[in-house]
Amino acid sequence: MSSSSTTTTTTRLLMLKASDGVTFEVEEAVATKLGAINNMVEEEGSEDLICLPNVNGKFLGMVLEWCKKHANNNTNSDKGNDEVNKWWDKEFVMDLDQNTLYHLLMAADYLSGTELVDLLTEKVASMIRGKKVEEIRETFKIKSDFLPGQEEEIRKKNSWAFE
Amino acid sequence: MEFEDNSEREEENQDSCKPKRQKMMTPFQLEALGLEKACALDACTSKSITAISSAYTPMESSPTTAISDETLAISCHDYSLPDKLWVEIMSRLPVKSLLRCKCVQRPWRRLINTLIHDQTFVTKHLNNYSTDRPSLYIMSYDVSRRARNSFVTMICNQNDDDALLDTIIEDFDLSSFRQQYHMSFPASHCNGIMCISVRQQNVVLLCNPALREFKFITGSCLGPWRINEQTRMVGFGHDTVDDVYKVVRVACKGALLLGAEIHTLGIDHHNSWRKLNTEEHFHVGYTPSLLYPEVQCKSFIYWLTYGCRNSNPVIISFDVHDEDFQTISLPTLDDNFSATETCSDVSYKLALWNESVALFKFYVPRCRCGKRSTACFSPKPIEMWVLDESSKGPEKSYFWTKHLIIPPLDRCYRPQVFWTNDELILTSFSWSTDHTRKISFASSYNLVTQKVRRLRGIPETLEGIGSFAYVQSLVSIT
Repeated sequence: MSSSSTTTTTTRLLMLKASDGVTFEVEEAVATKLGAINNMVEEEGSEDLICLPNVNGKFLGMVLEWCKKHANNNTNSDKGNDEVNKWWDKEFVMDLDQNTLYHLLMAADYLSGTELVDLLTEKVASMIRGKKVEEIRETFKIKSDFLPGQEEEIRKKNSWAFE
Repeated sequence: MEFEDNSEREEENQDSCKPKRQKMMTPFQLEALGLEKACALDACTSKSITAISSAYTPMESSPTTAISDETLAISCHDYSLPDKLWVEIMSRLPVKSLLRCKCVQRPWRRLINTLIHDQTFVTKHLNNYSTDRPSLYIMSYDVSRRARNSFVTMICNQNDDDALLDTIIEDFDLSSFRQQYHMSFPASHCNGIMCISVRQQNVVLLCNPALREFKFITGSCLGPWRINEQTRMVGFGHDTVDDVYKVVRVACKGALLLGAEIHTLGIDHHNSWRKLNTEEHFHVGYTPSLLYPEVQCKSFIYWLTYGCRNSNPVIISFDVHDEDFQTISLPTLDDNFSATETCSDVSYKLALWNESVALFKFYVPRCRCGKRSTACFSPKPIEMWVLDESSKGPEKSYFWTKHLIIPPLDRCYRPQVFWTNDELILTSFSWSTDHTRKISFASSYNLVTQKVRRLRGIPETLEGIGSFAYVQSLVSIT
């Protein structure tokens, strides 16, 4: 817990640079929601420009948008906050196309944004849950590569899963 | 299957950042999921579920060219995610979906086959999937005692004002076993495995319905069983210290204790049991199996048992790791109504709430006046107590705290099981219009809003309903 005399440190800004050169100025409290950035700041301080060569500006921006929302919502320590976060998360993932979803997921993973990874993997899981095999293939643009009879064999062995 | 290795790309990309003093983020190694080894088995395969995430790493190293949408559209066809993330996604799927996914494509089949036999993944799946989706096992039976076993997944309604709660119901057929054995209600459930004892026989049936795995454990170390010898208490639990599953059983001959025995899955030889020490004063009363299944909490099993000749009920606890029993007294509960109302009986029920053991004291109609109608019994409040542990002193001691009182509801309800910390399943029963039969149905009561909602799809049954919280799992018993 920081004492009241050092309130200025809470608004310290970090500079993040994405692979495509796009830079972001972010409050430390927001960016350190990402485990990777938190570690870096703890180890080496926050004065330098932080380069993130594995994530481009578009997705870094989205990840930071999510962090910002969660950091803001968490400051008002209210019980209703969980609900607000949940609602906001739902909106956040609702209209993501698959390409964005995948890139965002990898960016979140690279930056160790555990909660965001949970949210996004849950979203992908929801696209599989309860679906038929053909529907899953269509969703993920996958072609079957089974030899004739192989798929039938799996269905037979796990028949209750296909009921 | 390969896991991404960014180290080379990392170096290539160094040029893209030229700040006054730059620092590079080290790539994150694959967390030791225990899967590296497992997936290495598949290393010979040429194709992976996902291509290496090269499509992900931005190609442009010049800060001036931002990635255009066209570039993304091309990489979009790859739909590639590293395996590590697929593992994360798959840990959130129900067992059925996971098994179905084996049919999607060969790399998926390979990954899933590896995962379902990987202990680390099985545990991960148990944590990720099961806790998110409350699910119940409900057994209902009619007058002919024909049982219907159902798995009920609770759906939280968007609109809280609905008087009905949506459910997904899936019947589980145990009839072939029931024909052969006189089986009781599943006596115990832990991490997706149900344990069902067969009355008057020394047989225990274990099953994981999600994997369709069944296993009988027969035999006993308490000598040959005769017809008047009975299993009084059966429990199935997880020893979290040694990560093993154990079946514990207490057998009696009439009112006499025969002894207690235990079987550790995968360790003890097939059908072999070890005798447990029980103290002289250890007394096991009557444990009605249908309405009073045991409760598990943090590697402990708790049974509510009634003493002989209507003495006060007590709780017997069993430490699955240390393998010892302890008797816990109930709180002092006043029977406020027995003096004034002839047609009601006091009753108790154990439940798991917020990772603690909860005890309900409630009243049920027991018609002594002969009218057999709702008129001779008026609804009563339901008391809820929570068991706490005190770590003072060398012996573990327990104390009870009264948590809340549910005010009398519009009809008589029997508490069953919590499916969230606020939602309690209650079964209600009333007399049929011709006053000859009881009719039961299931509802959910919200502790905060005090609202009662019927469960959609659970039929009115004529005799009774038993239930417990169920989780689907990949835990294998074979």
